[in-house]
Amino acid sequence: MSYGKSFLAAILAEGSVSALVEYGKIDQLFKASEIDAYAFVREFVLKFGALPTAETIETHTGQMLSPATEPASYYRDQMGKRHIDLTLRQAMKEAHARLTSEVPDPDAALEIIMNGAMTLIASKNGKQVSDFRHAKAAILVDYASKWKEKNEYGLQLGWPYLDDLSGGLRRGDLISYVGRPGQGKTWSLLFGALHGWAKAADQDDAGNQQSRMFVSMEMDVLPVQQRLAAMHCQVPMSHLKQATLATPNLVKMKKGLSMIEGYAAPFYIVDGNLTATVEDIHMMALQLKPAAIFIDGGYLVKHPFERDRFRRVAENADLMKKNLASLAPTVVSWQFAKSAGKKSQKKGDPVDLDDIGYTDAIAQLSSLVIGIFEDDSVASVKGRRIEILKGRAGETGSFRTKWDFEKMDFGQVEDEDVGNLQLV
Amino acid sequence: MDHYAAGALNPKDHGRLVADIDRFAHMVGIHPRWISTPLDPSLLGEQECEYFSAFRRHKAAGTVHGLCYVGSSASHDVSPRMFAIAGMMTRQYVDAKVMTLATVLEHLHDRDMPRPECLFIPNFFMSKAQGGGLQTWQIAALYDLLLQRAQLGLQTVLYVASNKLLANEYGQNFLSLILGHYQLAKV
Repeated sequence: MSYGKSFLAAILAEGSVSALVEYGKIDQLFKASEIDAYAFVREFVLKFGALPTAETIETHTGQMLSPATEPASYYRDQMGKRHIDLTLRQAMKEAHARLTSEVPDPDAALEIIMNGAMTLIASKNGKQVSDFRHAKAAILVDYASKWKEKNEYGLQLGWPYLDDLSGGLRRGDLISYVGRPGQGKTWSLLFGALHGWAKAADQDDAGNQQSRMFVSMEMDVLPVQQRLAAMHCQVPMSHLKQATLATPNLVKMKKGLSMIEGYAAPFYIVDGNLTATVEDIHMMALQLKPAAIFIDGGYLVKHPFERDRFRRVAENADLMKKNLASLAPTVVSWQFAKSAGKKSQKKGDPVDLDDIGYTDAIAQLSSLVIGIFEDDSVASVKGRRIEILKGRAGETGSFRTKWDFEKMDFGQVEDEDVGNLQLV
Repeated sequence: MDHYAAGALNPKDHGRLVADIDRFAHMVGIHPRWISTPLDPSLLGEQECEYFSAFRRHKAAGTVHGLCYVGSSASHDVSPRMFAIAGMMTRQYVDAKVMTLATVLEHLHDRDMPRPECLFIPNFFMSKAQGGGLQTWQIAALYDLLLQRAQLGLQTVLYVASNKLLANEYGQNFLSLILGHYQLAKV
């Protein structure tokens, strides 16, 4: 089995140029029989901003890729171990030769071992340490991938203001939705999860992998399914819940639910009570391979040994960024502290990142933090205010979303209503 | 109480408003009946109809800062009219609020002045003889309030008993602001 060729096959299957870029230049991990294919793929990506097909690789290098049944990260790990093994063996062989020669040279042997170890350490930390002199390839590949790849191939959350700002969220991104209890975190999260999934299915775009894993820490699976069904089929949630849907809406819902059975991408709903820790969610994500992970109620996720709830949330946020976001963009809902409620009453005093409950780590680790607010007015019946509290490049701003439980529409309000008031 | 009985509200459009009508009425500063009762068309003059019909456009365009009722009559009180209009706006999910001048000044002092889309102040200016009379800092704070609300695209509906007395007591610049940027309606 060739780990290098399986790695390339897995990268091709994942279809993400940026995933290849994230691994950096890793020539040293490939064997002589694999390196031509790797070099070709990198050159191809640099030149054309897209991944070549397996057939193209074979045509140009004569090398056929090995089948890949695991994620690329798995093969990358195996290649790393293989590289350590081979490098150490080689160094030990050379050191042994110096020690057993007619004129033994222990200093030279030590130097060989040390150099071998230092090279391995440098190689192992390759992702953390980068020499700016060699930044050209990484920057150009990333640039080309963004230019070539359609934005909607990243995770889009359905609010144009936010999607334009993010340019589509990708692996490595942790996105935080923050709100006070009952202000609409779950609905907003479900809306975001449903958006790209349904859009890809509507466009019958099999290449756009938009599978979802939605972990609910607060709700059972059925209420989540009911909410998703109401949103997707656009039937009033209250009538669905009470089994009082009008006949046309019942027909509409049945038709809509039958249609989604044929969708290519799965939408997994996970009862958080059964997968309580980040590690549990990680294991499940490895198995289900979702294109995006959503966790409703991140502050309720358990930790194997940390009992202090403030430290537990901080630890979990860190684990979510490291373990989950590295698999797929991960969107998590959190709560504002009580200080946010007091502040919002004082109208001129904006709620900010300091008001996120439990820990500063959430703001620090998130690529994007959005606040969900319910204004103290009758307008809250019809909408919510969304504030970008942290953008990837320091962007800020706000917009309003609909809050229409009749049409189940939670989309962004794009055009301000300037119609006449009815004087009745 | 059946809030649908008067015909101004219906379950489809207003179910969630009616479910919490007391709280919303409290936020607006009016009795719930003003929300559930239709507006009497004879209550409004031509200028008011014109201004409130186009309220959303005024807000979006930002050229008109609000409406100012001007005039004095011993028998006239603009409060019920403002309550009725605020109720009409609430039915259409416009964030309206009715506040007396004393309440406004208290919020300004505490630096926690709410920012409704439409603020009604039924006793914005009363002359000293009518029981008004403000300190200098209060007049400055009110002027700031009107400017800030205009900057934010928020509309303000005022009652001024007399333009002349307003200029005398609040200053000419106050009157210029109102004459220059507010639509006027005589009472």
